[in-house]
Amino acid sequence: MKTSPDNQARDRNIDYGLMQHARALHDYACEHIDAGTRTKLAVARREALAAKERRPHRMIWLPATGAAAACALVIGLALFKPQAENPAAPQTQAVSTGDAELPLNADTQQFDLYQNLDFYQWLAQQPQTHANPRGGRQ
Amino acid sequence: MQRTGDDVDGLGRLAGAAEVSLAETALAEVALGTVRPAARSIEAFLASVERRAWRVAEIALNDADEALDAVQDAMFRLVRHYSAKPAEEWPLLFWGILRRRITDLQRRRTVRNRILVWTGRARLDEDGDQLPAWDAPDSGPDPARAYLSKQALAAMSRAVRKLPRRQQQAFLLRVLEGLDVAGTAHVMGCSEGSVKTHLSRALDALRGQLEAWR
Repeated sequence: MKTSPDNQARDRNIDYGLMQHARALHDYACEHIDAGTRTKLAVARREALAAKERRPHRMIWLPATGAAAACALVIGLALFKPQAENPAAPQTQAVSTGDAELPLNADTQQFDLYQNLDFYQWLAQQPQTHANPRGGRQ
Repeated sequence: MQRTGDDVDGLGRLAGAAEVSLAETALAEVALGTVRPAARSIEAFLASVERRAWRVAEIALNDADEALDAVQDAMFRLVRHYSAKPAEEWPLLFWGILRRRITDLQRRRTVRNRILVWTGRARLDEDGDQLPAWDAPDSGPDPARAYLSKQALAAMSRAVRKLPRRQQQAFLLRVLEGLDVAGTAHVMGCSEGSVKTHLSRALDALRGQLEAWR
């Protein structure tokens, strides 16, 4: 929207006064900040500068810490890997749960023996006076 | 600043110019003598800028503690990432960091306020603004002037906070901090033409409130 030259001149005067007054007000306010805030700003500045000086030490220790963590991980994997890959113990445990009377180390060849244990115990108690099938005496 | 006859004569030549040019011309007079020498060390630079930065952040955020957080964060980032840059670049880098931090805090507050309004726990007292942090009235040479300035600053801060964000940034950086158009454009991440437009609209909005500041 077009404005007349008089209005533009008036607005320019207002803008000039407005900006000049705002700037002066701001400058005055910046010079009269309360003591508590000034102290906090000084502390913040010192902490920012101190953080810069601490930073190189952190950068030195970062790779060393990473390397140590990697070594610990490799050693841990090497120690725990054989135990994890040994399947003998779990399989023995699984077989043993089939019959509570069977010993833990029973294998399949002796399985019939242990199943007919009563028969073999009776057979062992029998007197050894039976005739030899070939006709001789034992 | 005393106005000269050249200023009055120049009004005729500005008759057909846009309002943007009017604002810039007036600002050029106000901005005279605001060039600050470059600091020799990063510590000296921070010491020279920290109060103005905190005051700008307080106007934008209306919270002294959040303003302090924003300034502290800007200090950390400048020292950590840009302390090796030439000292002449520190001011624009610092104000750019601070502007982004203030914008982040303003956005976060907007989201928080929406949630509070939605949950019915918001305080919607528009006139409940706190007066800016200030020295005690009896500690200065002229307590009456300090009190009036305090009231005027509070009125100006309220008016600036009501501006749209980009207009607010243009006013704070260009008028209060005295950055030139190119520097303000660099800090705001926009073109110089956009800076002039934002500032012109900001002045349009603030023009009617000048009397309240006096």
